[in-house]
Amino acid sequence: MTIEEALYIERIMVLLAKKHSNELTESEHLELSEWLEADEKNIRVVKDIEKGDFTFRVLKDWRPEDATASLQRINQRIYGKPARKLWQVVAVAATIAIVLFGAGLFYFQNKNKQEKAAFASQKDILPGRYGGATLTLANGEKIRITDAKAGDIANQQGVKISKTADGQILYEIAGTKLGNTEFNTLSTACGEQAQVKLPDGTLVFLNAASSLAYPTTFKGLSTRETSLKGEAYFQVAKDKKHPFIVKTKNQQVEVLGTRFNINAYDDDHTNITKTTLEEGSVKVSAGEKELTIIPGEQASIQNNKIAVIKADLEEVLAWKNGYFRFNGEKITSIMTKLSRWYNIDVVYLGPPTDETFTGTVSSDKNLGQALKILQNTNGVKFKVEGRRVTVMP
Amino acid sequence: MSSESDPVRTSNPIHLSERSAFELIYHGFYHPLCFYATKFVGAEAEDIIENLFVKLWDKKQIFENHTHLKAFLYRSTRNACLNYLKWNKRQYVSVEEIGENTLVEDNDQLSTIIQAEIMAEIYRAVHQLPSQCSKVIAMSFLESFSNTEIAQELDLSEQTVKNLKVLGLKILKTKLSGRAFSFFLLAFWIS
Repeated sequence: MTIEEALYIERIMVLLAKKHSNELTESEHLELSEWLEADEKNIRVVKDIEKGDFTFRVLKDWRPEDATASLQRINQRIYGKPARKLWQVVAVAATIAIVLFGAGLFYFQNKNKQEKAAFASQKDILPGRYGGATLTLANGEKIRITDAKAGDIANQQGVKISKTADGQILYEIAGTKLGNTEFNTLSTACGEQAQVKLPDGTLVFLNAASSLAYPTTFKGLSTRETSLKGEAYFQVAKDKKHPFIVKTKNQQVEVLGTRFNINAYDDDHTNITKTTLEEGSVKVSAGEKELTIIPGEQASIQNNKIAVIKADLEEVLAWKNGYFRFNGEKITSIMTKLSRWYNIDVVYLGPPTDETFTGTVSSDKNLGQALKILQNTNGVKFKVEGRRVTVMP
Repeated sequence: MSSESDPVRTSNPIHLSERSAFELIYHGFYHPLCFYATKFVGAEAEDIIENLFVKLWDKKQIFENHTHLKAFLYRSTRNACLNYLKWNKRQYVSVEEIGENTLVEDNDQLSTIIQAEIMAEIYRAVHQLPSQCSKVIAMSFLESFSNTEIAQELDLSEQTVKNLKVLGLKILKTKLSGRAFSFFLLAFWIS
């Protein structure tokens, strides 16, 4: 809101008040009518206000105690560092909590100045970027589309770069005319995430080090078939006549219109693919077996066996929402996630610790900040040299 | 309360680094900003507002007057919400969400701010009354308790409750900006 808009809002409020007490002059009356007629939402808002019960209901919930409690939380973040004090007396437990704060503020101070210096001595590694990908055409030609400006990517490659309302870069697959169906592949490297809109309107969030192959057009095809490596979140556009299919190495997911996440990273070579459903329903199949899961469930597939568990949706979707969430996770698994986002190599000095970590770290932090949060738990230490991170017990 | 010393209304520069000003502003804007942010991000609103104010405190910003402050707060709230939504594409489900939780479209925001600020006027007016008056007025008009119930709750006689109510309305009428009182009437008596 600009100052002008703020003044305008104040003016409208004065006019509304004057209207109520019958003090409007003719020109003010006109001014208010103009505003009301400019947008039907304005009329709706005035109706809401005049229909006391809405205002009443809202105001009833505006309790000063809540504002006071909230202010106390803020004060604690600004002044108090009670968590640190507490920490010094609490022995390191088997599960170490990484303190989590919404804005990424953390109370812990680095106890060991030397460790701090290890991070400060070199330029910190920046987090990955949202909006970066490589397009591989059916003929094998590769096109980097990271740096193209919005709107200017060659349309003959069938990708239009646009910005969403909130400034996010969106790759829109324009779709070609009926003809030979060819598969293009959009892939992300380590440190890249991309958001893609397929010609049917399906929205795909591609995590780092992942790729999605899609036909250049869905027209004339009975199913909408794509294949995925790595991890992606799908918001499938509804089209009952044309099921949407995502194939990964060892499974196939078939849906009509829904939201779900597929994690087919093969980090530890166990060949497990996890499909987590947020909304709608999906059919997961592997070999001869198939199973339909409901929202909140996660199907894990390994060697054509399907297991279903209740998922921690927040954890599964954290990558898409801009943070890492670890829920009793081992350092090796955490480092794999970090390496994909920060494009780092990880080496372990001695056997990796068995301790598990719980907490949340925003993914817009530099690597040093993220490591510091982990290190402050006293459960693990790091040394950073160039893009190589050594994990020490 | 004089309008000069009230950072929510003053036409003097506002120093957010002053503790008392910061707290008064927080009390004055916490609910309307949460109301506004809820339209974008639902239940995350509270966290977003808290994060925003922690950042503001660190910045030690100075505002020319209350209009400048208000414009800044709503704009920052909106930006913080859009930032939050960046990787959490909630706006795509907006078709399914109806009623009070309808997510705002971009051009919707001015009317939403007007709504938030009108309610804020009432809220600030009522809660800036002397404490007993404020309690009685809030319980009576915002929570529609009867005089008997208020008397029991506050351990006062019914006559005292009546007196406090009259006194509270009198203060609202004379000392506070006419428009807040007008909306107060509008919302609760002339409906």
